[in-house]
Amino acid sequence: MLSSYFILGLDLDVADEEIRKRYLELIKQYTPEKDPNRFQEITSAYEQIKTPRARIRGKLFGALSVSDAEEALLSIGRARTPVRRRAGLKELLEDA
Amino acid sequence: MIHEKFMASKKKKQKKARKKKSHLNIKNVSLPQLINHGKQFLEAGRARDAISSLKLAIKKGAPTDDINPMLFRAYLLRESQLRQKGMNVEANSIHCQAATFMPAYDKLSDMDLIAFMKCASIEDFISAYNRYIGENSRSSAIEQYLAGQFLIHRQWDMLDNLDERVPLKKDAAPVFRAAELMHSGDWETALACLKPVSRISSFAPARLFCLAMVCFYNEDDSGMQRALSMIPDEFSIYRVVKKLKKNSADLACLWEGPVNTEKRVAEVLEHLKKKRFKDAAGQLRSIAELICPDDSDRAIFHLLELVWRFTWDNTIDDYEYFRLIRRLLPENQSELLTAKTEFFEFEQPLINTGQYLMHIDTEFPDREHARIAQALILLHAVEKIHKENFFVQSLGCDFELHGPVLGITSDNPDEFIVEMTLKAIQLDPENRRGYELLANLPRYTRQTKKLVEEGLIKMLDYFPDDPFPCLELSTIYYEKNAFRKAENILKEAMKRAPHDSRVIDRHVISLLISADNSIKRKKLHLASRDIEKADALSGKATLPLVVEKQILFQITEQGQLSLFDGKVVAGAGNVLSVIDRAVAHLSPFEQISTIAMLILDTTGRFPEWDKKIFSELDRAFRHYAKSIKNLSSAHIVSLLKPLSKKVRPLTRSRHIAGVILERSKNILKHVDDADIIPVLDILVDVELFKPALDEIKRRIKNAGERVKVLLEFYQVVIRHLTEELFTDLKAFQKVKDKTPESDLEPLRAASRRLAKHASGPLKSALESFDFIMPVPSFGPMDDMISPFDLFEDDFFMDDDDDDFFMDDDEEYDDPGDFVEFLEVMKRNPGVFKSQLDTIIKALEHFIDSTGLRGAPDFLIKGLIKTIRKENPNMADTFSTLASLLDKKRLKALSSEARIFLFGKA
Repeated sequence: MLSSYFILGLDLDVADEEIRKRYLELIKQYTPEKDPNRFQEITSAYEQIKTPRARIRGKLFGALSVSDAEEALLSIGRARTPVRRRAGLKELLEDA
Repeated sequence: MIHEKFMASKKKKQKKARKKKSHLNIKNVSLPQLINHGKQFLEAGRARDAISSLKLAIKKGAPTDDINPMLFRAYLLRESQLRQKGMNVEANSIHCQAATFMPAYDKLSDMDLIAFMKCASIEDFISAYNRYIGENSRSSAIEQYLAGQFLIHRQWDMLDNLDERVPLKKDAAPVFRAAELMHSGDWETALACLKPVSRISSFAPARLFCLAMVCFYNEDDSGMQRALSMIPDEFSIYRVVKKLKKNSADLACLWEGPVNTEKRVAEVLEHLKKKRFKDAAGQLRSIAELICPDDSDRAIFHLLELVWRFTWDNTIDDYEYFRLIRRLLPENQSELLTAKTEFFEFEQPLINTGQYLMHIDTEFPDREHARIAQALILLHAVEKIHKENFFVQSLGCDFELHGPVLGITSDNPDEFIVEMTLKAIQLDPENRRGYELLANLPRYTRQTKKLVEEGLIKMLDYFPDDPFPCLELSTIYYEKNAFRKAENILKEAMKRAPHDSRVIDRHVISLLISADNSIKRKKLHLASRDIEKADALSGKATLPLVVEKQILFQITEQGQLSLFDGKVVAGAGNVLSVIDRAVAHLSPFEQISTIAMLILDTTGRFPEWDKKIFSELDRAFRHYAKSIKNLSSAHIVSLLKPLSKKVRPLTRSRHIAGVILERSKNILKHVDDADIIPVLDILVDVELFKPALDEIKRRIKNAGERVKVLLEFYQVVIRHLTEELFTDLKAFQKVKDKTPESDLEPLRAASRRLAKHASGPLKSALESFDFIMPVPSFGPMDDMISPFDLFEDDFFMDDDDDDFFMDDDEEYDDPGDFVEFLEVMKRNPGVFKSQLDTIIKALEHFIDSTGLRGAPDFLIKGLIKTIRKENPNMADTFSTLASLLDKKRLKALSSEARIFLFGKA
């Protein structure tokens, strides 16, 4: 359920229109010809959160529909693609 | 805990002893060996051992000129080790000790100087380097290190303090601005600024570092690695370089969002497996904060839902899981998740569903969403109870607490799941799934039928174009013999979807029902009209039904109708030719199915028919059944399946398997192993135990392992149902024990399916799939008497009871007395009627006092047989009693008493 929001790059609890808008943007960007896997991923994520009823069902029974819990845990992390962040030399030295 | 402490202290003592021993060993070695040890320890990074060896060497008189540089290095190594551990105070103290062993500058290596001056200010470092180059030549390593220090601290004025010979000052001009840009993260501009810096300059590694960072932001990780590989180890920012070389994800400041997820998840799993729940909780929290920084509690809830799945394979047990929930979530959320996971586990269906629904507002604060969620939960529960054959009568529930949320108002268990579905429909009337489920639920009583009807009538309004509610309502009306209502609602279905095949099929069935009624009333002209209409409309699914009625009509019709003028009039001799003509255009599967339906439909229905007609029907069946061997296994299973509920009004029974098996004994040989279990279910459902047992025996030897255990299980169950075995739970446990864990689920499902055919302790054992519980006692005499003793001739020999009217405390443990009591009551119908409650009480007392309570059906039936044998009027007495019972009294009867009165529980 959370993965679907992350895949579409959306905040949690956004409105239906925003979900649809973002979905249309993404499928224009990742067409089935260009990137079939990503397209598939985006479409199935959209299906899971496109209506309030689908979101409620996903929230209620999402854990039951998971076949591999380890993979599901991993996919949550993977769904939210980390972005490279600007850091200065001092920050790097402190973090290292 | 005490054990752990004890072990830790033991280990500590052992370590101390080892240390002491090695110390003694060192004391005993010679000087050259000591120096050699010191060198080796130093090379191996064992600073403390190196220090001890070298200090001992000095004590033993080793020349300090040789030892001091080594000791100096050992102290510096120790200092850096302590700093890595964050023990700066201790490191400073070691640094002071190192200073005492510092060699003269002419004997000092450049690396030693760097190590010594690492924590010094630039000013001190420069001054030390100036002295160093007074005695030695310039060191590129030291200068690169210094260049790095300038970049970090940007104290450019210090460049003036450097010796004239050091070219850093000359090269530094472009670096001033670049350093500022590097600190602000503008690596691209910094790289451009550093362009004039030559490759041999001490500032060249800074340019390489900028290049690496530019590659990183351009997502060119291999380019970044190439640039990093050229940066020397002495460069001051090498620790950043080292981390970047290893894995850029290790530097969290370079990323937004979750990095190293796989590693983190692996760590969570490792913590869970090793029962380090505190660490697992910490890691889960950090993952949640990374993936959902704005609402990490929600992410934790979601992650914990996934972690719950690890309780399935016992990676963690339930207790540990619930502790983890409590550790990570606030109280209301933790109660919600506990209720939710218990609902998923569904061990106490009604209680678990009720509990979860009580918390639904926490999960869905929006009222509208909570309403839909509640409906979905109810539907999920009903579906599961229905699909997995839970025995509704045995489902516990706190009706006062959970009744309102579950929608249960009735005290009749048969109505529970229907009421729950209706509640779901009421909460979310736009969910079609609720109505579909409602239509498929069992409805044996008038009240359940009424409730289903109510729900479907509601659907008519919410789905004005959908023929589904019309079709389902028509089925209910036919079940209730409300033919006019059924026809009207089918007309509505035709209006809604005139071309829908489901509607057409149902219309065909409706016409056939009408034709069948006309045949019953001998109004054959009406029957022929309806059959013709049905024939014109029928599709593939309904064709055998139409043909069956055509044949029936032709056999019934004796030439009264002009419609069949010129055609062969059936009669006894022509049945075969009628059938041949009628089924000629059908497939072999349809032919067999049609004739089987015909036999099912006619047997016992037409007493006036010549017996020859029935034998002709049998002959016809056997003739067409020859093609069974050419049918697929799936087709044979379809043949044996009970007829669809929709055709129920058309035939006397839906159970066709008996008709087929009686006439085609070898049919089961053509069923594949993969399909045999559904076939066995069909046979057990209609109590065709013998063919089922024969078939199991026939194929059990050669069956695959998975099917074999199922066959063995069915064999044991059927042998119990057919009274071949008295309750012997060990036989079940034996099959269960030898079933691999991965195949247990089909066995468990089979057990639940078969439970409905059993009773007493066997039923409970099958329902719970638990065969190691003790067999409950069959009454107070259990210690001394086996239930089988009840059948001993002298068991019921009693002495002196001749008072047939029962006192409250009196018990009838002699069947003779009980029967006589009933007879006396029966002789006076007024008393019989007015004393019904007393009689029922007497019957229940009799069941208790003979120890029959909880006994298997066959045992009770056996006793009834014995009683009947000795008291021929018994059957009549019991049926009189049964006929007098009203609905309320019927409900209150125990299952054992039901067997007495009705022959089954």
